[in-house]
Order: sequence, then C-alpha cells, then structure tokens
Amino acid sequence: MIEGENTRRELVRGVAATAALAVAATVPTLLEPAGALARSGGALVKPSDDGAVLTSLLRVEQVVVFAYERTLTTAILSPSAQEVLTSFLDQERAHVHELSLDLTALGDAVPAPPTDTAGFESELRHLRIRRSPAGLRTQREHLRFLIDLEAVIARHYRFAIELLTGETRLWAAAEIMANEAQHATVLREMLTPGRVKRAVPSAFVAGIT
Amino acid sequence: MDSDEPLPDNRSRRAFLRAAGLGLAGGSSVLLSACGGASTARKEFFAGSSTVVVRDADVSILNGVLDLEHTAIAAYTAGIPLLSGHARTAAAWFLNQELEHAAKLEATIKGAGGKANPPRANYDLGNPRNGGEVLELLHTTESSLVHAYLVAIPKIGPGWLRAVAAGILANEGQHISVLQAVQGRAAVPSAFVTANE
Repeated sequence: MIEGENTRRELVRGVAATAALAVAATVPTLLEPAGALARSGGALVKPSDDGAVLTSLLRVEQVVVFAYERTLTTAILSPSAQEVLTSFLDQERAHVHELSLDLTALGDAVPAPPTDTAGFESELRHLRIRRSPAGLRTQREHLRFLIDLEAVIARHYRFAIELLTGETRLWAAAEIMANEAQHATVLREMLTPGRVKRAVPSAFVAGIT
Repeated sequence: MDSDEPLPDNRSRRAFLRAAGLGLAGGSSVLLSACGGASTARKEFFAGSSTVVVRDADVSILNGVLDLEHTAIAAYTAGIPLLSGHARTAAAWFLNQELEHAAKLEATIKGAGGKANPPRANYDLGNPRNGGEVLELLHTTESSLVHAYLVAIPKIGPGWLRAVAAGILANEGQHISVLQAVQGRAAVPSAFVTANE
C-alpha cells in the first residue's frame, strides 16, 4: 500500500528545496531531500529544477529495478511470469539508462541505486510502501507488490510531467509513464486473467481530479 | 492501491502546487476570466490565490486530440459488432474510456472559454470485414492517439493540463497493450510507448 498524499508532499518538498538551493548545493531528491544530501557526500552541484525532478524519477526507477531483480531471483514464478518480469526488468533498466543520460547531460549527479535489501527497504519506506518484500511468498503476492510499485512510479511520472520544462524531457517522461501503465495492466491481467475492467480500471492513469 | 485510482481530491493538488511554490492550481472548481488581445488572448483560471493560464494555443492543442478521440469513438462504435469474446468485452470497455476522455477534453476546453470541436458526421474508417481487421483498425487508431498526445504534451502550457493529457496517453497505451495481446502480439514490446510499436 502507498500513501499518495504523503508521497506527493515529499516529492514537492524536494522540488521546493531545489528551488531554494539555487546557488550551490548537493542534489536533493523529490523523495528524501535530507537523505540525498547526506548520500551525495557534499559534492557541490548546481541543480536545475528539471534535474531535481529527474533525480527523483531515477531513484524510483532504481528501486523498481531492484524489486524486479529481487523478485526474479527469490520468487518461485511460473515460466510465463518469469518471461514477462524479465522483459519488464529490461525495460525498467532502459528507463534508468535514459534518465541517467539526461541527468548527466544536465550536469547533475546520478544517485546511487540500492545495493542491498536494507537499502531497498529504506527506499520503500520513503516511498510509503507498507507491503514488506520480506513477507512475500506466493507469485500473487509478488505480483501485487510489483503493481504497488508501478503505481508509485506512474504517480511520480505524472507529477514530473507537471513540473518538467524541457520539451524532449517531457516527451520521454510521457513515453515512459505510458510504459509503466502498460506494465501495471499486464501484471493485473496476470492476477485476474480475462478481467479487462481490472486490468485497465480507469480512463485516467494515476488519477485525474 | 493501483496506479489508476483518482487522486484523493483537489486539495491534494493545491497543497502540492503551493508547496512547490509554482503558483499553479487546477481542478474542477475554478472561476474563469479572460484578458489580453485577440491573438494573444489568455484565459486564466483562478483557484484560491493561485492562477493557471490556459492559452488559446492550449485550447487548439486540446481540440486536435479531441478530434482524434472522436475518431476513436467512431472506430470502436463501428467495430464492436464485428468482435466477439474477450476482444468485444475489451473494446466495449475501451469505448467507455474514450468517451470519458472526450468528455474531459470538452469540459476543459469549455472551461477555458473555448469551443470544443464536435464529432464529424462521418469518418473514413476503411472497410473492416472481420474481427481481425477491426482489431487492426483499433490498433492503428490508438497509435494515432498516442502519437498525438506525445506531440501535444510538451506544447501544453499549464503543468496540471499536461498531467491530464499524460494520464489519458497512458490509458491509450494500456489499450494498445491489451489490443496487441488479443492480436497475439507482445503486449509491451518496448520500454518507450512511441506509437511505432
């Protein structure tokens, strides 16, 4: 489960923090500004607003990559599920690659990805995901966990698209957001085959008010 | 919670934008005023103390994608009778969602003081004769929509309006994914939904 409201607040706090650090500062993320400051080791970087947004997206993508990797190595999956998740992992890695290139081009530092379970779970807490990956047993439980994560990342892209300014960057973010929505659809279809209303439950992905 | 659930309410969006210090606001309960000259006329939505500017150019962009939504509605309406089973169920559901998209776009355009393009009297949809050809038509139509939204999003001024468009684009991507699976093709062939898959 996630708490979207808190996630958004933290996301915005990161952007606001970035705006305040216009002169010289480490790159805060939209998720955990203080932690990012600490982790970046004090390197002096002049962040752009788009850079802060990309950093946030990249950190969530890194968490998602770790989650797919962990699921593929620890879960007992059907061959078809294994195939689908492997494909999605490749696509999440492609997103990380794209975002990293863009972030580097902006002169911002690429955040370090989680490297162990403790780091992974720490990021999950920051994303307000309450479902612990440690307690997952069945394929269905693993799929639900990944659906939660796809929800988090789709929501981040949606808000990123509100905030980003670069045209090419906006285009890429929209392409990736749609891909994440497709992932969620296929994962839901795996949970409830043939139930299209569950696979594609809303006409407006990530919520439109 | 899944990715397609609505945001909690407009207060969340306002809090988000206020906190960001971006001076933006969106949502359904807005007041409208207009200012500026004829060619550069702008409509400003006021919500609380924040202002969001929807330009005439934004209205034009939204009308462009609305035209394609109307085409998609026509394609689904004409094609559904030739489908059966899961494909028919999915297409009927997607038609509902396309209608929601069109309604949202129309409301947004009208809310900005613009005039929403109406559906045309008829559409050249080719002559699909069976389910397979209908699915191909729907796939092509959805791909056109995806491309239109991808082109539109970077050009839309207000961030909240870009997010609306992105939410619809992502839903069109989901439609494509299901249609491709029904057609026996890979549901998610690419990491980037480009309309060329």
